[in-house]
Amino acid sequence: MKKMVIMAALAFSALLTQASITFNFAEGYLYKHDGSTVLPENSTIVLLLDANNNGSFGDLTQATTSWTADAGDVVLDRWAFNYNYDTGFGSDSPSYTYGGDVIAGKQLKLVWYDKTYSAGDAGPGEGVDFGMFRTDSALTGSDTGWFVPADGNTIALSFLTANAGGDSLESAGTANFQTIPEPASAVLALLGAGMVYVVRRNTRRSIYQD
Amino acid sequence: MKASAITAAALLALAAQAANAADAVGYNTVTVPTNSDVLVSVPFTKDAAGSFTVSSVVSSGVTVTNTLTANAYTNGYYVRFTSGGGAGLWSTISANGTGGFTLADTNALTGVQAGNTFKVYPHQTLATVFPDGMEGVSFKKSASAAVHSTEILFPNTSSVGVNKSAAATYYFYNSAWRKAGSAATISFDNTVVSPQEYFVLRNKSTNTLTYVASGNVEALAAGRYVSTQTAKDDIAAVSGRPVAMTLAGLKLGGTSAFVTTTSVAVHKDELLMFNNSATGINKSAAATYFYYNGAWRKGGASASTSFDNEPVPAGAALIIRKASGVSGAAQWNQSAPF
Repeated sequence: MKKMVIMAALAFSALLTQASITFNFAEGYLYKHDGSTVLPENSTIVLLLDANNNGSFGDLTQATTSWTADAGDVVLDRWAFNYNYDTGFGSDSPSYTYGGDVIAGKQLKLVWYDKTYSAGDAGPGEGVDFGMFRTDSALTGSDTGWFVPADGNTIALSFLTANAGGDSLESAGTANFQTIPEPASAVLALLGAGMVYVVRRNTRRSIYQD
Repeated sequence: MKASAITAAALLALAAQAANAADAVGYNTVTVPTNSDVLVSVPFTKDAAGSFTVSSVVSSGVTVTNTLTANAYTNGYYVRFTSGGGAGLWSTISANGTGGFTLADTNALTGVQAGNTFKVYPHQTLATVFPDGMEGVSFKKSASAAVHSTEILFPNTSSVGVNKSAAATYYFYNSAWRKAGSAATISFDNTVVSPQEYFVLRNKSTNTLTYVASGNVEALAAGRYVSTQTAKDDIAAVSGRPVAMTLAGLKLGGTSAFVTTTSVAVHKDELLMFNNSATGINKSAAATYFYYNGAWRKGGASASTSFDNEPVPAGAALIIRKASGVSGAAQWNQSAPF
């Protein structure tokens, strides 16, 4: 009887069948669009996988309702930015099942959005500032370039600015990009620009008339 | 294995932990090349906290006639049975009252009866395996939380599969062991180093390191359960002994804990061993063995050649690659080789 209990306990202890890879990520310092205010805690971090292996992640400024801009790419993971290492300097240690789209040699890209993380978000939305990073080189704090490693591997992948002890400029950690603004905003912006033009034109006329 | 690289001061730091030896004290060393992994273990115990006799076996543990201090042994200690049908099996103590111990792994109670004996030991931890005095010898402190000089990788023991990546990575920073993915202000010094599993020591510094395991050596049986899953599964294991052995000396091949291969074309259970002299990280196994026709055989070698006498280094890290089968478990018992 005891043996049966042991067998059952051990059987249920098995969670799932997997070959896996583990990343030890460090990302910092990350900044808002102004380049000086650090990205808030719980902002959205996205790890993209070039699943179709075409060497492109597309134009992410166009991705508003999805986190990907290239039809063949997938979101390998998405998490809330933490301050594990310092304010504006986070880390994570996720593991992923190896196989399927997750095959050695495929490119990875880290993207950070100035948008509070929400598990249900399908995309960043419009007019959201973001920054991104990937490299083929093993920079300081990384064991390899930003690629999926071989089955069973555990590797460090870091994006580190100079202030974090890394090789990248602080400006590289800035959310320098923005997803396309919503149409209503764009129309308002055009209207605003038009109004300025009209006012300036009228002002000039009145000056000449005087 | 060589001791020449170890400083006297470093050994003193470790020797202080093994002042009250049981049967004997000793140490093993493994050279850790730069930018490389070695797979190592701690085949030594710390001083036993006490020796006990089982008064009765209950569903969650054992009772004793001694009067204990409640919760004095919780989580940081383990029992290892030293006589009876459970001799060699061990479990972390999850709690203790004044008259007994609650075990985290009640599988260890299999075969245990009243009158059997056991010892209670403090677990080895990151801080005891890598004490401050060994900084610069067996590990290097990290200059920052993001750029690690030395990493300790613990194997994944909770999921089923082959080629599993690490379950946790630790690094030494700001006077304590920290965990990758956790706040760099949290100390993981007391993280338990399991007596039956290896870990990876990853040297990312520009200096060669020397891993040193030390402690007490006791001529006792060692035992554990080896589980079978419905899918192929890698199980982290160790030789468990601080001396060099042979494959036959592991007392694993030909037992119910290791399924014998009946056709050389389709291996059942396999045993993977690693070469700590090879450089590089995330190293694959150096050799794969299987048990066939009454002897150990080696992948890539003639199936008629016995590898029973193949050397197994002291404290060797092993992976038992279990073939898929009916879920269950079998006990692997190993009498002391000395």
